[in-house]
Amino acid sequence: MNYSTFVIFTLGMAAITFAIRFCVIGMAGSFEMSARVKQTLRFVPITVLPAIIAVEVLGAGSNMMFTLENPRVLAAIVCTIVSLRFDLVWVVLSGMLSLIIFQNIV
Amino acid sequence: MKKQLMNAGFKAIAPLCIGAFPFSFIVGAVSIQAGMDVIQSTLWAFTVFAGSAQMVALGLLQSGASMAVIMLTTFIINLRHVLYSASLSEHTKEYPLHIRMLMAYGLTDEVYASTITEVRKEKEGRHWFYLAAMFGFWGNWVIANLLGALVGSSFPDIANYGLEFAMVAAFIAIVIPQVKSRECIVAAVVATVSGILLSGLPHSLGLVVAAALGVFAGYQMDLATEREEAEKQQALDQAQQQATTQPEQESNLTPANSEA
Repeated sequence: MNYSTFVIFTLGMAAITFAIRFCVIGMAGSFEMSARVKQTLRFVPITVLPAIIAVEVLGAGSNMMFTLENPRVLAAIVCTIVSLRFDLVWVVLSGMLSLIIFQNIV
Repeated sequence: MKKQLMNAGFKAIAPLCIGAFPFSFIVGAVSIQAGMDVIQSTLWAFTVFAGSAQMVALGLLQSGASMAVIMLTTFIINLRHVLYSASLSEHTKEYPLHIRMLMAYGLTDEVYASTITEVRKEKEGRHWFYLAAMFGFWGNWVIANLLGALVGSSFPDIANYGLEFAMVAAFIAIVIPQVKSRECIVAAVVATVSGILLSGLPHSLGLVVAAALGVFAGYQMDLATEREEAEKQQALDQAQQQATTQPEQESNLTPANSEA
């Protein structure tokens, strides 16, 4: 890739990504968020992450596989059950191990 | 204290590094196919630090898309980070601008997911926890990209090893303990179902819409809960008022009855 294309490509993507991530943190402290907004923002992690999980597990669009024949669905069920009692490391280990097992038996 | 927080940050991000490694490795390998050299690829991963956007941008670059299209796509893919930025801002307002800039620079899905619970506790020095997690993930991202650029062609099946499932498992472990109240359950279910139904939208736009719908559902549930509590309180107040006025009425009636 030639130098000028690389510079535009890299700096353009970096600037846009940074601007999006910085847009509200950058203004932190210069305005007071209402109690309602603060309360509502607690929903951000529990809405974005499940949406990502669903797409990663089931696939997207026409490649979606919403069935128990999908080893990822079974491994995700195992992760969910383990996460009720155990912490993150155990959930990750059980998830990866169960995925390997289900990939070989399903 | 600082060392403890940093160690905790590294520990929190470690499982997500396992999940991100093959993804960044593939991005590194594909970037070479797209015409970058190893140095360019590594510099690009170091500077942009945005997995999904990088992967899609390479695809667009290979298909001959214009820079304007690539930039617009980058914007749409990363749009969900506005929510992360808003969510973090309340807990970072006492930090100087350069710390907030650094925190924003590394605000990926994984860094946000692994740090938000700790950051919300508002403990002193929590930025060390965040920055350790961020730099741990950033370092992992750049190294995996570099290895992918160097030897990626020798591991064409790395995407099939299932390593990226570590990210999904870690996200599940992070989300499940937070989904306790009925407001949170409704918000999470709405976002999940919307995410599935809208997964066909281009450039991960479905994720942004699903998250927005989930947050809105949670907000509506908060309002409904507050209304219910207000009604319960009102009913309780009325019952108390009746209980206090009834004996007064009875005591007012007693002399009259005795006279009768």
